Amino acid sequence: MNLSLLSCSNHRRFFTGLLALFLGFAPMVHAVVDDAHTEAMDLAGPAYKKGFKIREDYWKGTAKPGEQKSVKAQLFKGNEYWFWLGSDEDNVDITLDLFDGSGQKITLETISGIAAKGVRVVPPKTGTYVAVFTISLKETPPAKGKPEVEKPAKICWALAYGWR
Amino acid sequence: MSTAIHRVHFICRLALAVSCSCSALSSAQDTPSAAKEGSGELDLSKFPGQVMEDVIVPVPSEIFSVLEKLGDPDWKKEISTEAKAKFSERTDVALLLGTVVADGFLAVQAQDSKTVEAVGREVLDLSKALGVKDAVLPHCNAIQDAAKANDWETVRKELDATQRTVRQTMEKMKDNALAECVSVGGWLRGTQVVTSVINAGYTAEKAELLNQPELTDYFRDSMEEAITHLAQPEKLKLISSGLAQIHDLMVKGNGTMNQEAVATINRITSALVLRMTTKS
Repeated sequence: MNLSLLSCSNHRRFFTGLLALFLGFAPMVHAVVDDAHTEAMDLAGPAYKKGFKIREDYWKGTAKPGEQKSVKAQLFKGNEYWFWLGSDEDNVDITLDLFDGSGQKITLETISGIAAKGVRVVPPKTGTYVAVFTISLKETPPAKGKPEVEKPAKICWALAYGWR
Repeated sequence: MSTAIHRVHFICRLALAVSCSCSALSSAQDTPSAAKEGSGELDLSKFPGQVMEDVIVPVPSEIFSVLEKLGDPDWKKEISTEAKAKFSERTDVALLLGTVVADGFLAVQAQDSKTVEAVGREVLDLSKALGVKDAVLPHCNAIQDAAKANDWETVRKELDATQRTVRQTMEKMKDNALAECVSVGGWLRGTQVVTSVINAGYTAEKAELLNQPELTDYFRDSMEEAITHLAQPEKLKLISSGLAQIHDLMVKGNGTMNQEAVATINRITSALVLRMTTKS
């Protein structure tokens, strides 16, 4: 499955594109901002200040609300890692954990943002681990006198990590 | 066969763990679960997760940083001074590009600005041959500037960004198999360096860094796939065969490898890197 090719469309990007057009910066629309990745990186600041190196590369895709997804990662004993998962939807609950090959959860610490979640792990062994996550839409009643906002069928996600 | 079993076993164990964790979650958030509530019984047909075949491929710096914590490796000694071949076939170019980017990470570790600058120029030449020059050019310029300023963190970031840009650009061009060749080339050159460093001062702790059977499995699958529709199938078959041997050594080591196995992996990767970087 090719994660990188999955394209996302969302309100924020549409708004950014519209604004760019309005301001006469149409060519800049090509410099698409990945909102999910931006959300993930917003959570990475404290770790970066503590000396974590952040991967420029990241992994992305789409998920149905509540759908469980997993991404494998090769981790090395001796390193400490933070993984950050961002979503392009604000009103969400995110679960994110890391498991080793025998199914043991190795998450040590978590951090939460508006549309992102981070977990810190110190792999006990060098090997393959799996990041398992879900993104669920929060149940919120519509504001009085306003129509119910249509829920997205798919949510864009981005997974990034850093190590030290 | 053993690989397939290993993978299914891994997926089953993961499914069990995930279903248990999800089961705890379900009471609070009504999340679907593979396990029947309260019974702990696993129903794979209802497994809610999707175990992706993709593996996040680490950058060489991740392994290098552990080796530095475990000793004081002589990175300069590992830098290659051999002239690299000029290839015209895109499969060859993609594999070579991977090795060159890995050389860049190594040069960062050795804080060798001349080599980093040379890597920046080589990456640009190879990107041109792959048709991704425009996308990669800003990274190459940034690598050159940062190398002149001895700004190693920026060089590392830009090398990482180069890999991302090459991969994403190639995927947009429907060249996924070539993108995998870049990853494989980088991993083989990185592993050649790592095994050389471990051999120079073997400890079981250092050798544990080579416990990457899932990654070799993933690369082997991608090479097998590439053989069917890329040029240079003989070279790709050779790489796939080498990866299979490395995979078996890793599995046999069961988490830790003895020095002989480390040396064997070094021989295999050295031969493959030679094949990828020269016309021999």
